[in-house]
Amino acid sequence: MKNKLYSTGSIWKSILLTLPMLFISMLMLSRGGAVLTSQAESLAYLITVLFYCSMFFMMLYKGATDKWRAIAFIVSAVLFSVSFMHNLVDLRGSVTYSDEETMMCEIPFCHIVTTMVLIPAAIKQTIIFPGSIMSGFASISSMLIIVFGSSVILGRGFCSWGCFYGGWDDGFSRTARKPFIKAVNSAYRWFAFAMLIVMALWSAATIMPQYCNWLCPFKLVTERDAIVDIESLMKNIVMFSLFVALVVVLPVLTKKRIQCATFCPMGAFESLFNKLSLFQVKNNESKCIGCGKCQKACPLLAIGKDNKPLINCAKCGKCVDECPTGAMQFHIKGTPMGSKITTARLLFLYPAYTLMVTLIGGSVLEAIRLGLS
Amino acid sequence: MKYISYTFASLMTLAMMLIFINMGCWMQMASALPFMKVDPWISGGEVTDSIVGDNYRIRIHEAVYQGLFVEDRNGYIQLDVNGCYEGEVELGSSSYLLNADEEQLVLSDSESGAAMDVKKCHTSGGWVVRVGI
Repeated sequence: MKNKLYSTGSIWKSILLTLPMLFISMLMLSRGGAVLTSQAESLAYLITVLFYCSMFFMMLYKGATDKWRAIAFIVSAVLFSVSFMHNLVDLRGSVTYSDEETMMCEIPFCHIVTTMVLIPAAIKQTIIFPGSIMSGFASISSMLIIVFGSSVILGRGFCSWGCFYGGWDDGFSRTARKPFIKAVNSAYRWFAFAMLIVMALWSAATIMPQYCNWLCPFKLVTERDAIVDIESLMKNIVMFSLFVALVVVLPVLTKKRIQCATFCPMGAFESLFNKLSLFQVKNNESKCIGCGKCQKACPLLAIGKDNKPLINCAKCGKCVDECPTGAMQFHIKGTPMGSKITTARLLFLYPAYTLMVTLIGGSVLEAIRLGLS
Repeated sequence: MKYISYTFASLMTLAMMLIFINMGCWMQMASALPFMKVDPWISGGEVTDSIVGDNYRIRIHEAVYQGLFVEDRNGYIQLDVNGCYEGEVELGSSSYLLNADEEQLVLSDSESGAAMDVKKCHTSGGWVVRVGI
């Protein structure tokens, strides 16, 4: 079904508007030609570029943002985990890390840690993470640059377009046709802000990133502590339980991204960048009929009772797709409300999709290459 | 105003690409920031002394303490032990007997002879030991 408001209405126009993304994907995924050294790598490169570009084409041709974004996002997240874990097994022989990796500061830095390193960075002028500043996969400096750069541009859009964990939550929230738990109090979104404050303070006080140590559910799909004593066993049990509860069961029951909406400190931190970003999702009140469909559809509990997007909006576009009157719109700060809404959407889609292709696309390519070879 | 907004919005794709394309340069700039160093409590701290012999090399790191505003009483000294060594090492005001080879590493109190409970791991470069102080 086409969203007539945003659909280009013509295959050729959609192809033409996809061409810049084709160029960007080819450029950003090629890594200076490093991925084209064998037949399998070239084929994986081609499949990856075609996959991302076809999803982008569908967004333009059909006019629906969230549906095609979600396919690309979920596939990216799953293949990221496959590729990441495969690399770890290649490198260390296991997906677990031991004291050795921690003491040698060889743990890849993940964007969620950003929220825990800020206070010590300001007070003690040090980074409290056992990773490398410059070298290796996901070095501290590279991840901080990506987090801050993309957050200034997209605000919390990072959570729906760039976060390689969000796809898991997003995927499970789409498995049921209808929610088993229909009403989720949107006040639960404040829990993520509480998590941000508690985790930042707890980590600063103990000089250890405690969310990563104890609570991150996504360690189950990346790397986790080797079980060597009671403490590491406890950590694994807590993480496994949180993954099952927050990433699988509750999203299936509620059709909401419960982990991202209520538990992730990074999501709360990213929300603050929504004030800086040029791109917004807004409700054009002159068109709104107050049906509340946007509120029901929002997977991040980010739409208030007055049907206006709140600070924690991750710009996934679901409310824009669901709105029967087109009142929910992508908007660019400083432009008149309701004018050139397709242009505003398009101008948001390019950088948002560039982030997805560049940040996670490399891992997707790697996973496809592994599958082919 | 609206044209400025549209212009900036259209430049954002380029800005997003530049984050990644120019990553090497951004990383150099970022690493020069004063806070861009791993906390000594995690990394083990700077090497302050070393004991070098024909078939061994021991690097002794500075004493590091946990704490955000002030140094806590919890602290440790890290030793990087490469090769085979049997002898005394001075760590702060205490002395210890270290017996290390490729297979094992034992650190004991030089007075009582009791083995110390230390955090240690074997790496490609030898043993890394953290001794509580």
